[in-house]
Amino acid sequence: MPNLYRAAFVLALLGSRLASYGQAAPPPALTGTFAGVPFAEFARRVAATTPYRLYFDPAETDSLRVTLTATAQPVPEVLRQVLGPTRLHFSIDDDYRVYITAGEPVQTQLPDNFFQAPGLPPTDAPPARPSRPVAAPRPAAAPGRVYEIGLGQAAASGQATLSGRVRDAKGESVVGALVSGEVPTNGVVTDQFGAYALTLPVGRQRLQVRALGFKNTARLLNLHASGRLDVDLEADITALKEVVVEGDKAQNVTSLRMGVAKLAIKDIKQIPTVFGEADILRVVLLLPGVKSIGEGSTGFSVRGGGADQNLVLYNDAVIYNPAHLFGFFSAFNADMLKSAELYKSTVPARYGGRLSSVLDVVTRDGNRKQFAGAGGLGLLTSRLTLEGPLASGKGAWLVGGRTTYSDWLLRQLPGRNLQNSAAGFSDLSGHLAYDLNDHNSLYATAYYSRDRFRLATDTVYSYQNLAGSLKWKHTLGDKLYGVLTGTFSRYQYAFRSDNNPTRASEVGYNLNQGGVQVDFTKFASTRHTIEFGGSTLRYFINPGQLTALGDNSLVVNQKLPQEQAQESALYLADRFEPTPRLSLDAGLRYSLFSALGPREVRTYQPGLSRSEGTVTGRTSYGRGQALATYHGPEWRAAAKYMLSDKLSVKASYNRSRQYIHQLTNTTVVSPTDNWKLSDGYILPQVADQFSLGFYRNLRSNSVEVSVEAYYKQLYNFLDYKDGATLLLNPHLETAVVNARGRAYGAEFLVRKTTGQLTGWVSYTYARSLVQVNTATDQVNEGNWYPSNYDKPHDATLVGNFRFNRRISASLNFNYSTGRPITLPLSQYYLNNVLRVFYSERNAYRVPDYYRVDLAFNLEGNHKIKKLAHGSWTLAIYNLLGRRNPYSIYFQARQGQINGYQLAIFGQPIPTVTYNFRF
Amino acid sequence: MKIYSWVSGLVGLALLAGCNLENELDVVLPAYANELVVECYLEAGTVPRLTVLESGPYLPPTPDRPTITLPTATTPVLGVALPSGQSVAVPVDVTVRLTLPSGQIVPLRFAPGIDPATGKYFTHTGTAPLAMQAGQRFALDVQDTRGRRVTGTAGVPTFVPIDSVRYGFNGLSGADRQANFITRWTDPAATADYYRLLLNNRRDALNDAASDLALDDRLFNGQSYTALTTYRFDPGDTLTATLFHMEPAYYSFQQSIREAVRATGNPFAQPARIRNTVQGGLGVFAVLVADRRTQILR
Repeated sequence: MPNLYRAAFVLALLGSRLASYGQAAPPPALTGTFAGVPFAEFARRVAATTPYRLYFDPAETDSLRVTLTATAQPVPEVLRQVLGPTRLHFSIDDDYRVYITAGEPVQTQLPDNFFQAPGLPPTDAPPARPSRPVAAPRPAAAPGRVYEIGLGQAAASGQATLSGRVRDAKGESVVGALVSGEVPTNGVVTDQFGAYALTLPVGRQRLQVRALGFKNTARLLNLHASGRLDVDLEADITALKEVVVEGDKAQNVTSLRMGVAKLAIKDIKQIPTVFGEADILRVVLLLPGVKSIGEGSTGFSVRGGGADQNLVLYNDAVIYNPAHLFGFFSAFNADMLKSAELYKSTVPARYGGRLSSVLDVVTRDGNRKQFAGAGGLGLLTSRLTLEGPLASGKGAWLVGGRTTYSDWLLRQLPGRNLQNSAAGFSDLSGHLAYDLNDHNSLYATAYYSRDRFRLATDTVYSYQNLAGSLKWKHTLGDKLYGVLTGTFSRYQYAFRSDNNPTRASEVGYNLNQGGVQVDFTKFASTRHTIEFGGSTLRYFINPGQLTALGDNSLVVNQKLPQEQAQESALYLADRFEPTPRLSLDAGLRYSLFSALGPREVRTYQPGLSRSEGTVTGRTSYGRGQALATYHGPEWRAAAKYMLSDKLSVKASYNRSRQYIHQLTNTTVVSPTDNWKLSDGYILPQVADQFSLGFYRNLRSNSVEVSVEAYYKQLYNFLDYKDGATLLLNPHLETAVVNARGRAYGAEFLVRKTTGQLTGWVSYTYARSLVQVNTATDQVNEGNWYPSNYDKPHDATLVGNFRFNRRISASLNFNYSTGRPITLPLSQYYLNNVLRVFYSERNAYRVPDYYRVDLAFNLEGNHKIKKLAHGSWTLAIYNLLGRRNPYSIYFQARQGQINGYQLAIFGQPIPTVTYNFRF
Repeated sequence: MKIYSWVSGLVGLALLAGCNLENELDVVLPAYANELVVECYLEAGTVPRLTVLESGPYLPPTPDRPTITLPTATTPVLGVALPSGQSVAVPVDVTVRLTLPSGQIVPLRFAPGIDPATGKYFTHTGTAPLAMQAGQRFALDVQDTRGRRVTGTAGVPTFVPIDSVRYGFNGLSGADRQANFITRWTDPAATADYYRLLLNNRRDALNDAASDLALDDRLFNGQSYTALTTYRFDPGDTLTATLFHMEPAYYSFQQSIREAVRATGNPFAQPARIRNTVQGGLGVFAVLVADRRTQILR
């Protein structure tokens, strides 16, 4: 009998080992009132109402009486209350077996390398020094060890906070890793620095860390008081080839956030693109709710919003034109990036200034362990990225660049126009990360991109983005840390024409913004995480300058007056978990905007459409004087309720305000589109969005199913009067009208995250409507009409099939309804003038869009010792050669009007790219 | 200009990407039947005249249209290429009936011609000058033999007189000395009113109007309104202010014409749609009532 008992015990241990690291669901909670109940009776009632079985020696517990009231309380928490004052310990294995012992607690897990005797760190290894990062020797060896946290400090009563960082084997911080105790739903997610802070009950704890692309890792700790524990994760090699978009597998259901898509860079690299270059924005366009503005353009519309309503951040610095070469390439070098996150509905309170979405692009920190590099050679571009450690691993540097050789290619092509053409871009980006000590880290990022092209015309276009950010992260204790960020962004464009000496001129535009932001995160308790902070931004815009070139030019110089404004905001947000099933997030951002002088502002006759004919006078504002001030709250609220372990429902409400507007009267986003600040006539754009979603995971979290529905109202966004002139117009208020918008839709997504076949299928039904019905201006008689971004049906399939470790294939399928267009239907004479009879605005649509792309990825061999690891990507963009119309336009040739449909990629485009890393 | 360059740039880049990746495909516009286009303005004391034409397809273009195409039994339309370069399609099977406020129906006969004073052409004309009073309504009924029918009604707006016109100089001297021009009238309180105020400068006769303002009385209902210009007229200019008092439909039509003028020439701008005041076809039917004042700036 004792042998049988022992064998059962060992089997139980092994069983628990096998089951460990599984997808631990929130354990059933205990509800009940116990008044002086003997422990044996308590154990019986726990077993009757929960799956927990308590094993104990009756002789050791016979004097114990239990008095407490539990309401949906986790069993470990109840046990801690019951056994806390006694000398008894308890341990729980993965099958809910609870072992209660006096003296030493039962070890429910064997160390990973238990059966490999040599080199095994003893389980009674010396405790980690308190409040010091535990330098794990190598990640895989660590889980078997018990870490003593806070030893030697005043013992905490009840709970203590564990904080630290999660990094990968190269020392790169891991963002979005789920760090939790025994109850995964009470876990926290690492922030952009890989930092976490988790409040746990003191005593023996099992810390679990999970992150996409890494092996699940656990640490056994003995928590005496608050302290620090850094965790290194080991890459999960088999996961490297998977197309997984969301972070942790269970997060889809358990996370409070909705309308968020996180893209890991290695997934982005799998998706076929037009010129073979991994392109973050192109992958964003495949997400449900995101629609392309037009083929060959990286401008995008999120849930029916305009292309200017997306805040694109590169390590917190705003990038105003994230596209190269007409949008065929994104402005970001994929080798530099760690991840990109797109927020479509629940935008965290710390972000503001745009209505529809935030695309937060984060670079890697660089390799803290050794010098490394990566690069690629494509048909039109090449790229190289280098990185290495700084100050023996206390920091890292990372620098990357890209350039084109298309000029050379153009000269080889027949045709004089093409030989005279030029088109090229380059970008350079650098990043430094440095830990001054455990409490202070510095990060610096710089970005520069340049585009220049001249195509079959005498006009040379050029534009540049310059951006930088400097961050200081300071930990103010275990539960509070702050980040001070300074950012700078500049966007400028120019086009010059010098073929005709009498008309030789250059038009220039530039936008500059500098800002400071401070963000604090306070882990107030296990149930409250509070974020607060503030930011202020200063804009300087030179809206246009026309300069004559050469002595013979008859062009009259013209310079529009500079625009200035200050935009500031304060925010406070609290994530609150009243019960394990219910989470709430409530936030308020209050923003304040002032358009500042010096400016001369026209006044117009009230009640009339603003035009040259209705000007009544001018008002002058001095330097720094506010000519218009706007302010208002931006509410952010979200709630999640877990209907079961695998099913949750989430709801959110978001209000956002936008004070800077992009002026474009074409549907494509062009580099000569101006950004304009709000002023006395151009009101801030405001949007309210309500969303509701259901999230369900199937097949051990390997398949995610979600449905999100939203309704959005937009106020004061800009529409244009007919024939509006936007370039070099000193009085833009006469060209624009304030429009109202509403958008609604539902997004269905099924995603498979593991296995040989991965990818997602999504379908979106979305409408985006506009109404211009002000007292002075109407469009379509003031009725609602489809916006330029209204494409009701959109279906996407992204699949990746792995044949073996070295060969995989990706397939994209993309379908959407054609975008709306206004067509001329007829012409006639009225009052001796030829008039065109147009359809109502956006009454017709261009033909539907569909495209299939295919790519093969061939990895080099996986030998450990080799000079560099190479891989080939062979891709065919638009496999079926479908002629998708990009635009329909009408042109007069030899006095006759002809209509054309312009299809950019009317044939399959094969590309080959060689990528390497060392 | 920048838009053309931009599009040609896109095309060029597509060319750069490979061979012939950019495709121009003929656009097939939605089928659209030609409609009758009616234009008729009535004024007190004048013989009513009316133009009825037919709209034509936007595409395809018609190359080398002959000077005159004669009507046939199946298409009773006269095609005329005018010296101005315009090619108009005049349906010859149209009957026009004007219903007077008294209920009397007056047929307008088909008698195409060109008004020598204004240079405007017309297709139908009446026989006697019209008498009218404010508040009365006229109705128009235009039919052809192919089942098309255009109808419309137009009311006679009340006469709103200009109370005063005046001007003021900016106090500068020499070439900088310029005047503004102020027109003042009183809006009737009981009604929603729509106005068009035209300023013509005799010195600058090439330009149709020195100022062309369309406005409604939402912000000055029942009060006197002062329309003023910036300082832009020279000493010695002779300005004529014409104040039209209009019905809402005609005001809306006028507004849409302004929008169309602004949209002209930019194929990428959202095109402007002309809002008709007639039903069943295209065009305008209105009664013009205006007051005029002339002032010399001294």
